[in-house]
Amino acid sequence: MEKSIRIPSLVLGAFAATLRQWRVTSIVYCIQLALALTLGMQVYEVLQASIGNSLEISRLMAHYDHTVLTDFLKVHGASITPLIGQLRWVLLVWLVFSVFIHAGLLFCATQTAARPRQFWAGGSTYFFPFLKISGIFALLFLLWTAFVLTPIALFFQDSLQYFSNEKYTVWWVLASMGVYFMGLAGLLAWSVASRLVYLSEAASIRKSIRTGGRVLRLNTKKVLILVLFFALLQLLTMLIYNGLDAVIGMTSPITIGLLFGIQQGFIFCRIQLRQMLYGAFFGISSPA
Amino acid sequence: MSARSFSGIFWVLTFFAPEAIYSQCKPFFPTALSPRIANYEIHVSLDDASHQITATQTIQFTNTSPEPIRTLRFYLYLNAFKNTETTFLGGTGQIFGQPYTHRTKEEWGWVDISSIQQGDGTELCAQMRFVQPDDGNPNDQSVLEVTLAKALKAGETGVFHLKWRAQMPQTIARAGYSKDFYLFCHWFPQLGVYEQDRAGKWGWNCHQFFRQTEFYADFGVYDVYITADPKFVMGASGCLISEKETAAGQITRHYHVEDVIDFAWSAYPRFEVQEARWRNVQIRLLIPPEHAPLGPRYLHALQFALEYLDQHVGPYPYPIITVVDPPFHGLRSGLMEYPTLITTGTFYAMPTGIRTMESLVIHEFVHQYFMGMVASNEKEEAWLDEGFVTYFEDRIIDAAFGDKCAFVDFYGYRFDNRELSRLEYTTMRNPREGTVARPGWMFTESNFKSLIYSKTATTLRTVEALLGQEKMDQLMQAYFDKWKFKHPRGEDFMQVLHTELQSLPDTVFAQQVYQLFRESIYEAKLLDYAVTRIENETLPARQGLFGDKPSDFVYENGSGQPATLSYVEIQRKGDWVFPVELVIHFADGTTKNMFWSGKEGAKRFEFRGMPPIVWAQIDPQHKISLDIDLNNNSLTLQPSTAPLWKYAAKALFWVQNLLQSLSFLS
Repeated sequence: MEKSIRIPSLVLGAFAATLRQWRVTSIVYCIQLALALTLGMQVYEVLQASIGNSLEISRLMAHYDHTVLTDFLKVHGASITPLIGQLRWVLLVWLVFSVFIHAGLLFCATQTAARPRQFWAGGSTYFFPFLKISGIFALLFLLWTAFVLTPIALFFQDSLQYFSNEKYTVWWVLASMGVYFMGLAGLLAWSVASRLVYLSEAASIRKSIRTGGRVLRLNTKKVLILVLFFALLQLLTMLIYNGLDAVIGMTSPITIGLLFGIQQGFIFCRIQLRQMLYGAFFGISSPA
Repeated sequence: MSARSFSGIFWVLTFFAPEAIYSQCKPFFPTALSPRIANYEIHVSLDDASHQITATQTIQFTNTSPEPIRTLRFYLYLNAFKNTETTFLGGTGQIFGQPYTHRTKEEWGWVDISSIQQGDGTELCAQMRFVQPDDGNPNDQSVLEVTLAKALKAGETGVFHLKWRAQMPQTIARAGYSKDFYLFCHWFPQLGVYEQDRAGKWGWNCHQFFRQTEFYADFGVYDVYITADPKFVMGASGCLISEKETAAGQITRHYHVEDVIDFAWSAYPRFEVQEARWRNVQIRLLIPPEHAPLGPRYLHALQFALEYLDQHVGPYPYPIITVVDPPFHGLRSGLMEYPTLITTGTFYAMPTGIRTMESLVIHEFVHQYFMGMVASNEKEEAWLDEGFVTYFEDRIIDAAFGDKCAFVDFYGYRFDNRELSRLEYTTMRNPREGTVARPGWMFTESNFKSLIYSKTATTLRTVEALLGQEKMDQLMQAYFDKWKFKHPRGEDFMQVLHTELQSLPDTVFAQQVYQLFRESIYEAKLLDYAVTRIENETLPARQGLFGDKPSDFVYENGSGQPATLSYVEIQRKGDWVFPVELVIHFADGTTKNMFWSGKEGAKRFEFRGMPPIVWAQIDPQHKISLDIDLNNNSLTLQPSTAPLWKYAAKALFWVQNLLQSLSFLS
């Protein structure tokens, strides 16, 4: 149903609510950090065991050093292989965890003053229904990916020979990727709207997905603007981080610590931006 | 007649003159730079509809041997693209990773000589036969032998008139067409080289066309008249002397180039022309419009290369260098070198931090020196040109764009050409799989580049690091001066190397460097030194009875100062022996420089009564790039953990980002 609420109010409201829910953000951040650390620390140990006692490793401080890392991979590459395998499992575990986490976040988005206990309650209450919704949308994501990327995979090589120059192929791929990411954003918005409807109306999964779709259709412009806005915010934070990285660089123990802090702040911001998106969507989809 | 009338008549005559005569550059040398053994005049006409060329050709060939020549041998390399059973195409369905089969009759390539007459008019067609001197493949027609009616006497110059026709293939490798882009290389019947082999016997050096081999021919003068549709923008070896419109509305362009071993040309209606100069050398770039914004990158790279080689090797004598950047669909014709014409390759909107195009154009240009002027046999000893060219390509690019970031410098991911060359060799699955000095057809596609290009370049870089750049330049200049416009062999370079090294004051070191180079090229060994252990032990203080006879015994009870023993163990893990320098750093800040011959498999350096050893490093200045693992060249007991934390933090950060990004699926 259409709401006459303005986008700036939606965004500001979501922003304020997210700031108030910093404890919830911290919980999500800590879970993610714990999972990522299982891999991050192993990188430390692998490097230490293989070339940690070589003077060459100090060349990695000033800049990326292709020779040091390639010689390392050539001789000790087998020690990296288990990490790659482990990454796959970590990603799978994370996907399951994140159903719980985003159930909790979405529930908090519907509360005026959410606390950590509401996060846990929301996560545990809505885990299974949201797992089903995730499964449906994961399938839709896969179908959309196959739909867009299959022609590129099949015809990319031939197109380079067919057209008079490769510019047409480049623009075709860029346009396709643009359409692809817009489609992904649309599916994400639909997924979020469906869950919010489920939370608000306690409807069945099928009805929630249908209603979520209707909410999107009725608020297409707002949804589009919000999605673009938050995507741009993500991009902006990434550019700021890259700029800081270029200026500071991890070239000494102090700058390593400093940039590590900035990195973790960036991750924290990304989680908060997701919360803001949920809050803004709730503002669109909740009844008057 | 007044000056005004004369001027008017002059301009009228010029306007109506049937031939517009101009020269972009001056291709005529006052004295010959080379022996000019084989000179060619070719009149060729391109039929774009059928992709065929028809030509008449006159060859002046001088017998420089002391004995009569009874046969001629020609490269007919377009026949390599005639069918799937030729030596070039046989045994694979793909070239450069692309399938080449499933083509119409008109898309294969061939060349056919319909007439070949000796100077007195005797027709020799009946005396033609295809020969296969390398692999005996009866389906290969890339070498043609013609028996002469009258033997060419020693010192005599014979004139031969040919008529021939060729079908250009849809490009499989290098020569051919792609849509309306053409590259004509190894496109005409060209004589092999009549020379002495290593046993001193005179004969034709005229190999078949293999996938892994390139070209070898005599120096001469080329006059080539190319008639084609005026829609084509054309580039060729040498200078454009004249352009003339024919009665059929086509354009005949006359190109002339002296003291070169080959002639190539390219045509494409959509070329844009960009030009630059370096001193008296005209740089002419033919580039498709979609790549045009990248043109200045080529031009600047070439100007830098001209300057660099002039300083470090020798002068570039030709008045022009033409660069052909093919359209992307014609990229199979790219990345090649011909006298005064090179082909490169790039991609639309190539980022400035990725310098493949600069690297390519410099590589192909350096070939003007090695293979173009120092005309070694690319088929039998490809290392003499490709290895040397790669070495100079690396030096030039790294000088132009900076160490450690010259080739790629893209959002923090960076490396230079020298690193790339070394790693292409050291990361081979089996660096011992063969020697560098073998004929090209004995290599596989996978090890050809790693050994010929990269190992040779890394060897030259190691020699440079050992001798110093100034001495290395002297060596290269001596080789270039002695062998330009000639056909050196590997042993000729080794002789120059030996002579230059003799001038070093340390003859033992000179011999070691010579041996290193020789082993790198002519043997297949692995060089890997490692510091494997550092120990600092405290030995018990002196205890016991000291003295020769019981009556003289002195008893020490061990209460004195304990002794220290520190040692470093280094190992030679490969089978390549080369003396190495070892630097040992002690806890009090002092260092010791040691040398090890490397003859034993391992060596222990012991120090008593010294402060503890903190770290040790083999080859501290990284002179020996041939070492396949530089990380094990040093060991420290006080490692810095900062780099480990840096990369752990980066890995953690990117895993966190990946998790956060993937969470949209849930």
